[in-house]
Amino acid sequence: MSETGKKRLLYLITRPPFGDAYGAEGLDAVLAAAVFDQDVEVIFLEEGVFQLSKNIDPAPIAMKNHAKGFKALPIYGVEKIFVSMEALDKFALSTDDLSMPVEALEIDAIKEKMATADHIFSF
Amino acid sequence: MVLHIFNKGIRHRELLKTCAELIGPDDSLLLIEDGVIWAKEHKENALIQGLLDAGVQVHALQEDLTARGITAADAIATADYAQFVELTERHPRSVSWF
Amino acid sequence: MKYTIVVYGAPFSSQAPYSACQFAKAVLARGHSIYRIFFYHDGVLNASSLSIAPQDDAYLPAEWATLKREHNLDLVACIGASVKRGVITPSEAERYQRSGDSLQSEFELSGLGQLVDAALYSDRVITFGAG
Repeated sequence: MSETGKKRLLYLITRPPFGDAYGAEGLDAVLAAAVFDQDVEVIFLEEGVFQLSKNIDPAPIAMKNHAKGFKALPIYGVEKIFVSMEALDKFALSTDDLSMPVEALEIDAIKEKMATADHIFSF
Repeated sequence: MVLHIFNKGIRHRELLKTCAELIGPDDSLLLIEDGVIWAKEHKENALIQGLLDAGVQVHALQEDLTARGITAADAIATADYAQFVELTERHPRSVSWF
Repeated sequence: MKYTIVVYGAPFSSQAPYSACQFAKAVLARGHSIYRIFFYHDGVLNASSLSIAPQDDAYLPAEWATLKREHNLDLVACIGASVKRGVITPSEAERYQRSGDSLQSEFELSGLGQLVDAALYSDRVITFGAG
């Protein structure tokens, strides 16, 4: 529980877009949490960072672009959005390459967020 | 204290690596479903050994071991479903890796 | 303690719902209560009334139904994930002009808010992931 009496809900996005529905359905789960006025945090781990690629264009694969929904999260009040610094390094990316401003976290900072969350959802 | 629940076999080594890096000293790892493959003594088990060396408790679900005819290495604690629940009682939060 | 169990896997495709069912029984056996079992992603297929098991195979949807009757459990499948995968109520069948409905009566279709609500009112949330 955070100081405000709200629950800390942590959402881990671990998969790249389009190969399966977890990214799109994870986004829907985060949006649902936004409505409840809780302490919501989202961390993109591993291949999940590709959900935030700047130039996503699923037109050639005839699928819907759910990923632009992540960019809209701050509009819905979800402002604590992070990426794993290690994942960025692994794929030679920087936060400048991403579709939205996010803070990159070291492993220890991610651990700390996991250790203090009330519940952790992974997608 | 986080209970990490991992259900994939060694084809998902990179996933276990990510999970292992995020396991804190007070956390525990529970291997279920295909994850119990990791509990068998095997070559290239540096990830599991690293966790054990760091003092992390590594458990494997007995029902899933039995179902697959696998015996866990001595260093791995086995847990049945009742003990799985007990682990979730002791760890206020869990994260599933799949 | 109050538990919520989240299921992402479909019967006959993944072990996740079978694990979730065993875990649910163990939770109840240890004297805890289950606030909700929430089916999401391919897990919504647990709620289908149209799947048929081979004769020698366990039929999980029936197990969920029994568990619900014995313990008055709240079995909720995400409505968005369900309709996409063909798990629909009679009213949706009519609305979208489909030839039949497919939601097993022990389950309820509802929004993702039910998952958030479950997280707010449960001491533990355990996810059984798949795929």
